[in-house]
Amino acid sequence: MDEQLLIRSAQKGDLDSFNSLVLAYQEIIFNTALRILGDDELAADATQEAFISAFRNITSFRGGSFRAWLSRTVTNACYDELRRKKRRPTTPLEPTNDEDEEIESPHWLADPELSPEKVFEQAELEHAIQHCLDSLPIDYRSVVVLADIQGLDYNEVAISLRKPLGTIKSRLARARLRLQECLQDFWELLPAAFRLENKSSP
Amino acid sequence: MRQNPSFRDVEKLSAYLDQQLSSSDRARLEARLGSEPSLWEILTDMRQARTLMKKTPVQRVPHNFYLTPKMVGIRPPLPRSVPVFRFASITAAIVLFFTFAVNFLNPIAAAPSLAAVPYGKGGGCESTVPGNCGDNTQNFQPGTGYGGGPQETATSPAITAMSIAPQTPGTTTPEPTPQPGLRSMEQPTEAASILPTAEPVMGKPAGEKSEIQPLFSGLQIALITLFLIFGAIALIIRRITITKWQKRQ
Repeated sequence: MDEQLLIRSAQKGDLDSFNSLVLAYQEIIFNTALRILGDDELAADATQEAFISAFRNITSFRGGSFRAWLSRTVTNACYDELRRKKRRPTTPLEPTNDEDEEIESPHWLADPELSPEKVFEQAELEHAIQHCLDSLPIDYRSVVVLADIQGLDYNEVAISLRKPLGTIKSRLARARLRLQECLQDFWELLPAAFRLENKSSP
Repeated sequence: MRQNPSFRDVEKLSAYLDQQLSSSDRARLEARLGSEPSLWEILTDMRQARTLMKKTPVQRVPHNFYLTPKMVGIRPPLPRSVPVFRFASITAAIVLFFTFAVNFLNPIAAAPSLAAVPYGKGGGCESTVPGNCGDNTQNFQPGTGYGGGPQETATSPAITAMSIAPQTPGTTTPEPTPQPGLRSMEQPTEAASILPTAEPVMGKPAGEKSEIQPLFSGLQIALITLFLIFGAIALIIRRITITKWQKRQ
């Protein structure tokens, strides 16, 4: 069904239409929240909150990129979660195996179609990226998640974060520099497929 | 080795990666990249970081994030009669409350007005009964009267005579001969005329049955009935509507 049609129906209060949009965008929104928050459960909570907030405020959507508009709601929800987390810090319960050892990547989130090797490689890469993302200030993290991971263009990122285009450009440049420095530490640990290319002249 | 490229240059390199530079800026930057290895190094670093970020594995959602009507607080459209019945029920309850409040406050309001009733002339307490004059009871002396004149001393013997009279069986009760001590029975004196006035303060005589007040007045019963009926109707209609709506959902 046409997205604009679904949006118009949702604006009239049709929950089924909005749920069709939820189905289309839930993966993007959940992954955005996951990369900003770095925690599955918090990300799930933020995603749910974002969709609830989006439905309640969908009449304020005046056209343009619906993805950018949804990204704004999820980044707001993530900021709320982070503020809540700051007020009430908790110790996360890591999933454990039968021998009571911690599992770095919960197996229920792994793609069953991937081979064990691929799963391991992806887990390593994900761990490195998430570690470096977590080391960034939240404002830089949001920009790099939306621009580089979710592939939004500068205008969409600016709409999502309600910041001027210049600020987005500046934050993205700084974030990329910091990320590169951080990822250098993981180079040897990363699988060959993900290692950085040789730094040769053009 | 980097030759101190400015942050402005770094920003341009970042925008260059995302193809966000104008054609003129792009041409200038490409010319510089050929001659400044430090700029090229930064560009390579940023490109690598960007490439790696784009390879971030996409996690599958742990569950669907469908919204339910309860989550978003959608309520079924209630028939117009529901708020009408609800309003009627609440109004009946409020009026009922006021009737109870008036009933409760009435005796309290009436008490000071009774206490303010004047007892007679002569100033001060003229009651012949000891204890009705507050602290002045200590001045009461039987046979001497209190607060009035010497003629009031007859009250006490008169009462005694009244109480004794029924205890003499066989004796016909002739018309009482006027005796100095019973004078008050026939010729009400000032003190006798005062007695009925003082009665409300003393309360009803012990032998007299008090009138039983009903728990609720007719108005209150009607209001309670209205409150219950309207409230029940509103609840039933609301419940039926919600059940039908939930089945449709």
